[in-house]
Amino acid sequence: MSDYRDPELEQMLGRLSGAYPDANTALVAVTGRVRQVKRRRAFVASTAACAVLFGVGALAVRGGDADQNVQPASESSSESSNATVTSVSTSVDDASTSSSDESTSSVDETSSSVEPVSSASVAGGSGSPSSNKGSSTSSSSGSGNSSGSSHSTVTVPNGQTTHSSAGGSIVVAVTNGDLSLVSDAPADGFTTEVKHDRADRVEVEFSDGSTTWRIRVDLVDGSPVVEISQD
Amino acid sequence: MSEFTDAVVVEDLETLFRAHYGRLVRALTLVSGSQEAAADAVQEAFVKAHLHWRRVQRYDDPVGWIRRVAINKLRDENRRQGRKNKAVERLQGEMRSDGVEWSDGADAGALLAGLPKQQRFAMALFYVEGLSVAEVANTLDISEGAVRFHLHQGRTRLRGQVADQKEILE
Repeated sequence: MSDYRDPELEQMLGRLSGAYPDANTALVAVTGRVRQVKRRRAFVASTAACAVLFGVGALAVRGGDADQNVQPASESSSESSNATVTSVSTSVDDASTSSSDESTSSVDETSSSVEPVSSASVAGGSGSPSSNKGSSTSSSSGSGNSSGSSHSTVTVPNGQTTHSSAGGSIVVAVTNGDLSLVSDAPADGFTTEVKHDRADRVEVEFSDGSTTWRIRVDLVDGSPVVEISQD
Repeated sequence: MSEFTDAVVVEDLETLFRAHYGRLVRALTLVSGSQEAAADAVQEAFVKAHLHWRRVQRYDDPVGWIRRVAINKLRDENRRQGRKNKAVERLQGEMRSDGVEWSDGADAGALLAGLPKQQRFAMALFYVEGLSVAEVANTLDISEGAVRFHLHQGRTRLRGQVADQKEILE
């Protein structure tokens, strides 16, 4: 190996390779780069963890909604008579709130259903609003004298609300302070009879010969008050 | 190393860094012709060593690993730079035999730049960093015989060219 040692050449190459670099400055630079890489890795890991949590949460919410939306119509049609559910729903363009009960029945509220239209039509036939963008849903389960009855109120934009019963569903709108019936959709085997279609009251009955479902909407202080009953 | 802590890593690496950084940068400067590029490659290698220290410290020769990482990084950089230079040269209509640019423009540097890249690496590691033939062979992943060949060839060519230049100057 000593054959290859050549002091003159080493000196020449040493000159070419320049002065010794400042190790302290370089060490600071290396430490900074290490810190930067670690921060980047931590950010990526936390982002991935958040994404996983978000995914799991979204799946859980979807699963919960699916459980709520699957309500067999046969169950709701086998309920006893005189079930009454009343709720006050306040609807505004592109936003809605619905709450409070005025009778002895209990009202369970849910929000942000993924498919509000399907949740209404499962219980009350095929009456679906023309648009469901930005809508929210409040489902009401009647109790009182009945058991297992299912009704729902879906609020859609443009001041329209869908109210469903086992006999069918209606869509009403509040325009310039006037109430009006937009559409009705009886469930299979039911027929529709519009009892009232006034600026302050809309009342529709769905009957299959033996059972009659009545959906009455009154305008009270500019807000629709819904009463769904079965005879 | 069960009581592995970040402080230990920093201490160990700092010792290695202070012992080898300067020599390694100078050796790679000789190959790349740019101390900035060489320093960047060596620093990158030490960053990797820090991040994988748990594994690297178990190697027989951690410094050898760091050296190889730095050399690979430099080769990648040179390749990229070479492609860029060739593209520029094509546009300028003039081709060179070697894509490496020597930043200092020294005559001896130009002579060294005329050597094949592997020969430059062997000479830099042997003459500047002071590695043994076996260490150079291990670093470049070639046989010791090949290292000796490169050293012999490189030295002969450099000495010959320097002598020619001296004759011309006289």
